[in-house]
Amino acid sequence: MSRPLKQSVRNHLESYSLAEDQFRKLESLAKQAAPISTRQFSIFPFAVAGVVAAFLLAFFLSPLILDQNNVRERIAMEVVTNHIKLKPLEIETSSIDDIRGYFKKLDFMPVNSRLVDQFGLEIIGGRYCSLQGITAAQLRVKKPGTNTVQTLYQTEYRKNVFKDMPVLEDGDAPVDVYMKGVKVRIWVEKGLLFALTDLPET
Amino acid sequence: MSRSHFFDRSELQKLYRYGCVLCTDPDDAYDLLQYAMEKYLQKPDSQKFRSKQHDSELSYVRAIMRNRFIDAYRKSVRFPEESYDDSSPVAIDETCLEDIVIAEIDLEIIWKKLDTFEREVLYYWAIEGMTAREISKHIDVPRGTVLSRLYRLRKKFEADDAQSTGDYAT
Repeated sequence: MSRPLKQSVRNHLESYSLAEDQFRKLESLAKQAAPISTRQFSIFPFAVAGVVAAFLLAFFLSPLILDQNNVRERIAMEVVTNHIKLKPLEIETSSIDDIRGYFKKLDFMPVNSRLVDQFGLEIIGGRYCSLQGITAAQLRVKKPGTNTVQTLYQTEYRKNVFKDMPVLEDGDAPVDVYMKGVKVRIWVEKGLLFALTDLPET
Repeated sequence: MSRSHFFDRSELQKLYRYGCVLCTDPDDAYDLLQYAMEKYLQKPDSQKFRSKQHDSELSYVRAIMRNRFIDAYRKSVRFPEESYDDSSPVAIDETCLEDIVIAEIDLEIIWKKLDTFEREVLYYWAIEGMTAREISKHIDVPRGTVLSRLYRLRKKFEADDAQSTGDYAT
């Protein structure tokens, strides 16, 4: 039976059909490909976000870290400079009570340090001083039976000036900074900032 | 983001028939479709429609099939490399096939004598209902070439009809 060409072409092509198993194979291709596609697309935004976050952290934290390191170096420099000068003591005593009696113009109360005690050091005297512009007590300490004198600074811990420092009560370890061949150990204890020059035996 | 679309069975059937138009052999057509599906699924969604030529996913897959077919059969006689004489001054009407009537059994015979270009034009004209301009866009040839193929098809169908009439007369 003759039909319009268009209809005959349609009928002819409709005689070609995919079988059920061919359909299933093609549909299984899509199922296999889907997880790969999802993974490719899901990782990308997280990777970009990670890179951006890392960049921002580095950008904003770097000045803070650099600034903190600068403060520690400035403290160490000031402490070592005065340690080398060894200016005369204004009071000579091994008693913390005498020290407190003498340093009445300070905004804080000088104290014994647990760490200094652990090193076996005892006070031999002190003088008024300042650290980074804040009034401080510059004490001299030595180990009994030796002649090596070390310098111990105590001053009020002002976070806006000294930034973040290790706090002994929080379980932090003191930070060591080397300046002019001298090691300076810096920490916070009992609300005061301490800076102690190098001990020969440590 | 998950894949937004996969073809339903009627779409797969359409693509398979397009493969049959290109290959004539049903097994080759299925291989061609499977290859195109794999390529399609490997591509991220955002890269699927890179040209104005492919305005749908079906169209995109047909392009993969066609390119693959041309690559595979470029050296074969099934895909003639000589072009038609597009500049020949033939008065071609886009509707020149509309008035042709043919028996399905005769179409099956003549179908095997048509080359790939001709079958492909017939497919777009009869199945997709496209105009010469739309066909030219899809197979990336000038509109004049499509019109020329339509005209040659008409001539072939007329010759076949004349031969059939002669056969019946004898």
